[in-house]
Parts: sequence; C-alpha cells; structure tokens
Amino acid sequence: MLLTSLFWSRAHGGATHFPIALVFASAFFDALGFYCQNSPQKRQLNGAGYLLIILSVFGCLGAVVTGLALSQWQVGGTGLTLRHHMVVWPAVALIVGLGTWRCLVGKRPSTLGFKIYLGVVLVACALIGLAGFFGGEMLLGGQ
Amino acid sequence: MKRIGEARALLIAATASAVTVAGTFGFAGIMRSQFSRPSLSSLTVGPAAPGTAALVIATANQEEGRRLFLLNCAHCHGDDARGDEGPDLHDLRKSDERIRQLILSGIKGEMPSFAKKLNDSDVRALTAYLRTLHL
Repeated sequence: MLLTSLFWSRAHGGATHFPIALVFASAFFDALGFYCQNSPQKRQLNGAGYLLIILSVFGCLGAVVTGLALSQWQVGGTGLTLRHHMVVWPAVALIVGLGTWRCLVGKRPSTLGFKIYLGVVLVACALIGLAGFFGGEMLLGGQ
Repeated sequence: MKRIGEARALLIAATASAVTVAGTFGFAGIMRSQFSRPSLSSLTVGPAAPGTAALVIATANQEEGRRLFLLNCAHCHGDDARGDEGPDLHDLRKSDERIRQLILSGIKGEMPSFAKKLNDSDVRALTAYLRTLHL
C-alpha cells in the first residue's frame, strides 16, 4: 500500500525542509536588503525575501499535512513529539501570518513595519529551527 | 495611509494564522475520529467471564503497542513489521529485557535510542505488541 507510515515518514522528511530553508533564506535576503540602504540591490534582495516568505507558506502546508498523516493526525503527543509540536504550531502560525502580512503590504512596507517584521521573522526562524531539531532527534536521537 | 494599511494587514494576517491553525486542528480531529480503531468500551460490553479483565488489559496493551509501533518503528521496520530498512520483527527470539534495552539504547549506527521518547509503560506495550507478531 502506498500510504504507509514509511511513505509519510519520507514525504514529511522531504517536505519539511522546504519551509525551513525558505524562511531562513527569506530572512537572510530581507536582512541583507535592510542593511543595504540606498543600494541598487536593496529592491532585488527585498523582492527575493518577499517571494520566499510567500513560498514558505505553501511549503508549510505540505509539511503540516505529511507530518499530521505521519503522527496519525495527532496535534500533541508525548515526549519529543510533544516538544516538536509545541514549537511547530507557533512557527506555522507565524509563517502564515508573516506571509499574509507581506503579501498584503506589498514589497515596500514602512521602515518601522519592516523592522518589526524582521524581528518576527527571526523568531519564526528560531522556532522552525527548533522544530527541525526535535524532529531530527525523534528520528536520530542518541546516535 | 501606509501605517493604516499595515495595521489592517496585521489584523488580517493574525486572523489568517488563527484560522489556519484552528482549521488544521479541526481537520486533524476529524481525521483522527475517522481512522480511529474501535474503542475498548465496545469490546467489553456485557458481563465479564473469569479472566476477561486480564485479557482486556493485555489486548489494550497490545493495541497501544501497535499504535506506538506505527508512530515510532514502522518508518524502518515497515507497517507490517516485515522489515524495510530495519529487520523483520516477527518471531523475535530475544528476552523482554533485551528488547527493552535495544529500544532504549538503540544500536550504534543502525537504530536510534528511544529513551527520550518512550517511557517504561510504552516499552512494555511495544514489547507486548511485538510478542503477537509470531502469530
């Protein structure tokens, strides 16, 4: 049967790295753009950050669906699974919120708005990174 | 004007986040109820015969063991425990204590330790399930 635990395990392993990489790359390009004030590259860097955070929202959906199927639709759990979920859900909420905000505001938010956005993106990076760490510990912990 | 736009966008973004997470939790709940196995209460209706209580406890332990197996072990040993990346677990010729040690300590380079993930009761349930696999 195609939809076995092994299938979902591999699908989640593959799908989950997209939002992690996309959020980190988006934060990197946006931060770089922020510190390149008045440089000709600023617009391109912010454009890349804008596109990547929106793509990461779609990446999150795949990671969430495969992860839920793998955990037999549990949103909590115990031990490392619980710790993984405790950071995953705030991370997903933040990424969806950030992507939506960025999409609505467009490529040129105000300086204050963008500073706050960058701070929240860093929190999202920390949370998604921690979720990835706990996910890795679940599979490879102790080796 | 831009500030008002950003504030409104923030409100919409917060709503989108809440709706996404709440929708996901709701969807997961529906899927859980769709795919959940029959509850124990449905197995224990009616007067119990002598020895039934012990049988029900053993069955519950095996069911919990199967659930834990699918969550933690099936990725490598296969859903039917016939082996994939990891070996076939049918007809194990190891003692319960050895199985417990392997689950908790793992095998260097081959199998991860589950000491942080599973407690003693979980390991007992898993072992009970593995003991059914010789059938």
